[in-house]
Formats: sequence, C-alpha cells, structure tokens
Amino acid sequence: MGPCRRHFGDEAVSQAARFARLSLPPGRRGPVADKLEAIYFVIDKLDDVPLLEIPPVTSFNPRWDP
Amino acid sequence: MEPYELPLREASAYIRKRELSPTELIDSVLARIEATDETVGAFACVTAELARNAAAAATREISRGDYRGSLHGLPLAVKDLYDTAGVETTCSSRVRAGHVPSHDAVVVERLLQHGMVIVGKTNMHEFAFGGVTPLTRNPWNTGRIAGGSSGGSAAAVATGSCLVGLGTDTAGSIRIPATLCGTVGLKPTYGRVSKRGITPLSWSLDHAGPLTRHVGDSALVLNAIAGFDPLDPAAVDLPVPDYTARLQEGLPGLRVGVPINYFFDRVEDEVASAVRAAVALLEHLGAEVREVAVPQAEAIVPALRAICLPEASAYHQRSLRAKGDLYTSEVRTLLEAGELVLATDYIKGLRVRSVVQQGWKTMFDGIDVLVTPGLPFAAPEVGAQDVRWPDGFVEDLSTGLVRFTSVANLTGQPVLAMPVGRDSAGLPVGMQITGRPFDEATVLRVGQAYESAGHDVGRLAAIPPRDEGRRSLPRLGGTLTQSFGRNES
Repeated sequence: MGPCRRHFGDEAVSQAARFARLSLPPGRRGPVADKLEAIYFVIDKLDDVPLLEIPPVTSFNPRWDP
Repeated sequence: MEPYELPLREASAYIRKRELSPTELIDSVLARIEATDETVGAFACVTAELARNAAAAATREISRGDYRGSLHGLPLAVKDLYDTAGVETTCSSRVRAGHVPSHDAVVVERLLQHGMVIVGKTNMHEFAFGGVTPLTRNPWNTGRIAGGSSGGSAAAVATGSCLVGLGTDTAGSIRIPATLCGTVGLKPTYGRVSKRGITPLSWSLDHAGPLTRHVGDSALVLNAIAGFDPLDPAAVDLPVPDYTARLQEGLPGLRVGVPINYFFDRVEDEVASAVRAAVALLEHLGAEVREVAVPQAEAIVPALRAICLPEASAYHQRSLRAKGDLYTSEVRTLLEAGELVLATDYIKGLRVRSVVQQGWKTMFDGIDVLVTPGLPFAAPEVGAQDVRWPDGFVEDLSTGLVRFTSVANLTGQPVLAMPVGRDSAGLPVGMQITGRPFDEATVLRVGQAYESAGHDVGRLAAIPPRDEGRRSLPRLGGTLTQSFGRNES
C-alpha cells in the first residue's frame, strides 16, 4: 500500500457522500472530513500487518434449519 | 443496614428464608434511586409501579412456596437498548424516543423467568457508540465520567440502585464503566449469551453481559442468561456449565499471564501498581505467573475501528437518512464517516482479526488467563477530550478508553473486569481477567479468589445529598414510562 496519509477535503467528502447516496449539507462536510481523516489515520495502520492468504473472519451458516 | 445495601447473596438468602420480602427490598431500592439519581443520572426510566407490582407478585409466590431460585425478587436495571415489553426503549437517543417494544430481549426474558424485578432502564452512550455516557456521572465523584456505553448500569450498581445491571460490550462497554465505577463486569464469550432483542452497534463485535457488585453475582446471572438461542445467528450451541460450581476451587496450578508489552504502556502509575499488586496476590494464592508478549498489539484498535464503524453505519443507514437531525452531532458524524469507509478496508479489518485471534490462541498455549489493567487511567473529568501522558503524547480519550478492552471483542474471549483498589483521589482502578473461549468458569474462579483475599470489591458509593429543587443533570427528552412522575425536559 502507498505510504501516504489519506486526506479528505470538502469536495472529496461531498463526492463520496453522493456516491453513498448520503445527503451532506455544506455545514456537515467539514466535521465528516475531519472524522474520516482521523478514522483512516488509525485504520491505515492495518497496512503493517502481513496478510498473505489470510481469509477474513466471517460467520455464515449454510444450514436452512437453525 | 438498609436492604438496598445487602450484597446479592445475602439479600437472596434472606428472601429464601422469608426474612426479607421482595417488596421490602424493592421499596428500599426505589427509595435509594429517588434519593440519588438526580445526582448520578443512572436511569433513563424508573419503572417504579411495575417494579412494586412484580415485587408483590414475587412476595406472594415465595410465601406460597414457589421460590424460583437465587435471583428471585432481586432488583435488575436494564441498559436502554435491551427490548423490554411495554417499557420505552430509547437507546438514549431521540431517534428512538417513544419506541415501546412488544417483546422482551431474550436475556431480559430469562432473568424475568428467574424472578428478577426490573426497577428501570439505564442511560447509555447514544446507541452504545461511545465510552462516556453523557447523562450519567461517576458515583464516586460526580465531576468524573461513569464511562460507557453501559455507564448507567455501572453507576446504578455502584450506587446500590440495583443488584444486577445489564450491559453490552462492543469495544469494552461493560468493562469500561465497571472499571471506572468500581463494579464487577463480565463480558462472556461471543455467542455464549443471546443478543436477540438488543439493538446492535456492531453485529460481529457485540456481546451482552452483567454488571454486579461481586464476582459470584455475575456467575449467578450468567447461569441464568447463558445458553444457545437458535434464532440468534451469533449464538453457539455448547453445553452451559454451572458457573458457581468451581468458584471456590482456588488457584493452585493455575497459570496467570502478565503482558510485557502494550498493556503497561502509557498507564497511570497508580493503576499499574494496583494491578501488579493484584497479580502478586494471585501468585501468593498459588497461581504461577508467566510473562507473555502480546501479538499484533498495534493492530488491535485499528482492526476494531475498521470493523465497528461500517457495521454501525450499515445498521443505521436508513435511519440516518430519515432522522439524521435527531442523532447527537457526535454519533451522527461517526455514522456518516462510517458510510464512507471502503468495503476493502472493512474486509482488511476482518482479515487482521483472524491474525489477532490466531496470535492470542498461541499466546494462551502457556497460560490459563491473562491479567491486565482494565483501563490506563481512573475516571477522567467530565468533558475531557484527551489524556496527556508524561512523555508528551496526547491520546484521544475515545481511544484511551478502549485501548485495553477492545482486543477481547476481536477475539471473542471472556473477560471479567473487577476493582483492585483506589487511586490517591479515591477513584476505583481495575483489572481485567481474560480467559480462553467459553471458559468463563476459570475467569470467574480467578476473580473470586482475588475477591475473597482482597478487600476492595463490593463497596457502595456514598452519594452526596442532592441540591433540593434543582436538577443536577440534563435529561433526554421523551416520555418516561412508569416513572416517579418527573417532569422531564
């Protein structure tokens, strides 16, 4: 993964929100952008974990009866 | 001693012997709530009339010989995200104001079957999405936070306003307030207790469990609430042991792991000292103490965040669009940001969760339990946003609160949080005892051994008298069911 920290300006957040069909009034874009940057600052530390062929933790029960 | 002050086992014994009636006990608890809750703010709703009726019914049952067991007639406080039939369930959010479920959550249903009496619904962080509980104060010092998200239940237990509080735990929400309020809190293994009827925060991380004054109380409650629920997709079909059976077995031969990394980094000295003293006591009681290295420590909080945020946003997706203005700004922003986390990053979090789980499995090869601090600090001041450490590092409070608790939500292991002392300001500090999956019995045994030999478990907070005529705390708006007739604002 690239080493750079992700940045989210108002316009980027606005576009992402439109793609998510989420209405973000202008007054909310700044707080959401700040929060998203803070979240990704933490989440991107997962890049340091070598995952190789590790599958995700999932829980799926194919039985039809409980 | 007033009935509300009795430890659970003593109250239960008096009721069984008909030396105390459920009516007397519940009346005493309701009076305690009335005297303290303006100051503490533990309750969103006090179900006084329902409680008195249920206590009277329990009194009649016991009088005619229909005793249901150790929990019969005892007061229960329920976190306000557990469905309670006929009683408003708001999740401490205006989004759910006026919501009255038609059925009880499975955990509530099971405790009612055992004869417990609900005295009210407790305040929480909105939709359990935070570690503070803004409407609740710490009973030991009302200038400090109670922690969250199950802060109301912890504060109620510490105040003597119930004998059992119900909580949920997604990143530490049972153990954080238990630690800060000086109570016992048990997060059972993922899948051990049904979550049906509980509003989710994050399906794959949520757990349900009790907060109590004493370790044995949590064992009794777990006996009542554990068990497979075929209608809960997360439930695991394994036999349920009697969690009280081995409580007194002691510690000889037990291997206690103590971390050499992560869990003692950036910890207040008084917290670290108290936990190390507790470990020394366990060793004195016969346990073998072994040092262990915690694997993938730096990935714990990032993986938790990567999983929790998108799951929470997925649950609230429709409601956020329809009623966004009704969320608090803090939670609304989290939910909106969570909508914009990429699916590939969510799945990366799930993959790292696999790595963390495998690492902890390996770490437990040589130990039976791991003992760590519950939190890095005692209860922060109300309004604090961050923690400044002696090395100059400024830690966001929301991260500091979950730094030691969230790994067990990733691995699903059982954890008991319990008090191990006080800091110089008189605030509780606590430890966590983490066990192998579905080995709650050992976790409880270690906690019981410490409690039996220690001296700081089960204390009730002395609440300062309220300022008559002035409400101390802000309240959530909305209709309260069966309250004391408060005129809520």
